[in-house]
Amino acid sequence: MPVSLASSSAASMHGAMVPIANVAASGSSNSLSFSNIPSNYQDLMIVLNARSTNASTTTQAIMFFNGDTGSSSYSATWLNGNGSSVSSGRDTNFSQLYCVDGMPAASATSGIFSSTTFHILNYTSTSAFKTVLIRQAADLNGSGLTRLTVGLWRATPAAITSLGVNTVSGNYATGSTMSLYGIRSVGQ
Amino acid sequence: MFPLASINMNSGAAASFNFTNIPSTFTHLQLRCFVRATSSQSTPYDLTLTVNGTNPTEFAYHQLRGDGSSVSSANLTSDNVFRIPLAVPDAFHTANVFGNVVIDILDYANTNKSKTMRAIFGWDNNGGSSPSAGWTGLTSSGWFNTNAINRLEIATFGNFSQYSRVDLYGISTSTATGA
Repeated sequence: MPVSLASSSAASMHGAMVPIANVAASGSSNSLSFSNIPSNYQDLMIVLNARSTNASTTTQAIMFFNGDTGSSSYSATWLNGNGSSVSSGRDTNFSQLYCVDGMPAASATSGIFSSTTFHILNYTSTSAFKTVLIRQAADLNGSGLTRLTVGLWRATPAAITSLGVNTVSGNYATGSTMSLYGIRSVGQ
Repeated sequence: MFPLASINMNSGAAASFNFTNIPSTFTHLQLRCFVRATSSQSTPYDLTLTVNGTNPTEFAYHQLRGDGSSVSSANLTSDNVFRIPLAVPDAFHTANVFGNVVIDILDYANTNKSKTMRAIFGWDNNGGSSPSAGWTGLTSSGWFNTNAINRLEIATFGNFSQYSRVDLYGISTSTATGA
């Protein structure tokens, strides 16, 4: 299927990446979420900069879509490096998507937050399950990890209209943020 | 980042996505691919990018990947295309599962450099055993040619399934220069 770009020029174009919303943690909640996500973009991108208040060195975070936390519709495959070894693992039929590991918590050096970027392509499709590509970095100056995760949400192909990312233990520390971007395609 | 072109297969399966006359006015390109193949085998198929027509033996790749139980790395030289192995699930795998691939081609129009592509990819089958249960990984690929890239053909083995799509973006840089 061919398409020619002979008449393309940046001067007449809109930027593709559009900031939609941003949430900032106050230290009193374990959840960051977006609802009423508009359907007029091709893809979504989410950037999470996070730390937990839990009395440990690290914790995890879980993701869910459209309020679905009980259908065992999530699975994931990941690739992990911790500075000395590599590993790969899998979750199947989970009720939420484990999307962040090694998130710094209260016992980690202050001021360190993990950074995670999520790509959700074709998020409004009602013909395909939803796949999430997740790139994560969490370095604690002596420990830490970098991880690539692919997550799958198998709800009867449904458009994503809301999403949340919760810490597994503790609340999001003050300074944690989550930003939502829409990626426009041609004509959007 | 600007949307340059979009090709979808919403009306039915087809063999490839072809972008021609890619303008040289951007600094980088990004391809966002949502793909599945109609053929069937347990090992997922490769995603390939033919550049400016046929350029035999001018490509190489390296890949770091995980299959849910182990980590491996692979490479190939004297290849004919930019290649992302294992990125395309097919009719053997769970219905409605598509591979997601985000590809960056840096400085694609610079005629003094060989070209480098980098990609992240992944798809998950919700269980099963390797090689059919899912993969995620990082790939880099080189095209050892200094020609500007003006044409890309994205293909796999056989046809892409209905609802596959590829979106092409141009990425600009500021005209400001540092001291």
